[in-house]
Amino acid sequence: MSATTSGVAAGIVLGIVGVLLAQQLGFLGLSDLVRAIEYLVVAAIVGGILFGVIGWALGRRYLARHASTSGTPPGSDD
Amino acid sequence: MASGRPGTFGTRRWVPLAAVGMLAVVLFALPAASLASPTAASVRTSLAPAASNGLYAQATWNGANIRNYPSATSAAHIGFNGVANVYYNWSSLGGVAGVGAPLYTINDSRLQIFYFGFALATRDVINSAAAPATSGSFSMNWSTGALEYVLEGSYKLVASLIATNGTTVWSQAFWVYVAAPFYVGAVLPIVLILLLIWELYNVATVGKYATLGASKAPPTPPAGEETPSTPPAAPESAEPSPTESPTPPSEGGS
Repeated sequence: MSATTSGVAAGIVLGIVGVLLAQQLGFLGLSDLVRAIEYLVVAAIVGGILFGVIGWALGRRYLARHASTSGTPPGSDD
Repeated sequence: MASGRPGTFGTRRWVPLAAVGMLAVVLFALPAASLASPTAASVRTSLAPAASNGLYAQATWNGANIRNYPSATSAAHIGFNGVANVYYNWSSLGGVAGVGAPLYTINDSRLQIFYFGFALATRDVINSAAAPATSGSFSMNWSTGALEYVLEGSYKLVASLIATNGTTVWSQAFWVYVAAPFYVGAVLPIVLILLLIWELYNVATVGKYATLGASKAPPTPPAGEETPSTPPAAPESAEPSPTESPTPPSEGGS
């Protein structure tokens, strides 16, 4: 599983958890089924996109950082 | 591979495509009205009494009319271990000076709390000796019961009056905020907060998964060096295999 996929998965969970937590803290009403499903689906999609991009960026940064430290072959002097 | 560097944008070209695709789904699959309507208006419940049919009824929550709590943002409040008094009052309309008004036999006052469209709990006050009348009242002391250890937040409640034949002659929805100790002292918000922390930790350490995709890619030489077109030579100590021995030139005689 790549960093992007991991970010998407975490973002979907975070979106759903965020909606449920917002309801528990009184900012949102989830008593109507259709409206609650709309909130959950939109939050899951937005969270998936957002954290997918974040995961992709973090993956690139991780690769760039480790390529500069350990990716250099031994003996090269550049 | 579209790009020379492993794990770069070229190897994950599907990422922006997937993002654009999901964004298109959000923008076009959902109705525009649901995106444009504000939250408070969307959760506002109907104030019209249901199935009034010549019946006037109202209910009060600790003395205040439940019509004062039409949305999640303007909800009544009940504290942890709190009890609210819900008072139902109904009367029959019609007739002349109260004479000739239709009679109702209402024997049940009901209060339901809803979550995801389903009734979490139902409380009834039943008058077993109900008789046809032109007015009546019910008093109910309501608490969340064991749910206060599990849930908190804003919930829709429906107060209703039910006749002896089982029909709902009046109903009214309103919103109540159920509080918990220290704001998050119930089971569900605690679990959700722990899950939130765990997922945020996963996102923070998500970069290491990039090495999984990068390890599959072949190593590329640094810039400025040409890629050798021949396979690496065998070690010198290795004995030549018979397949690598050159073919002896033909002698030409036949």
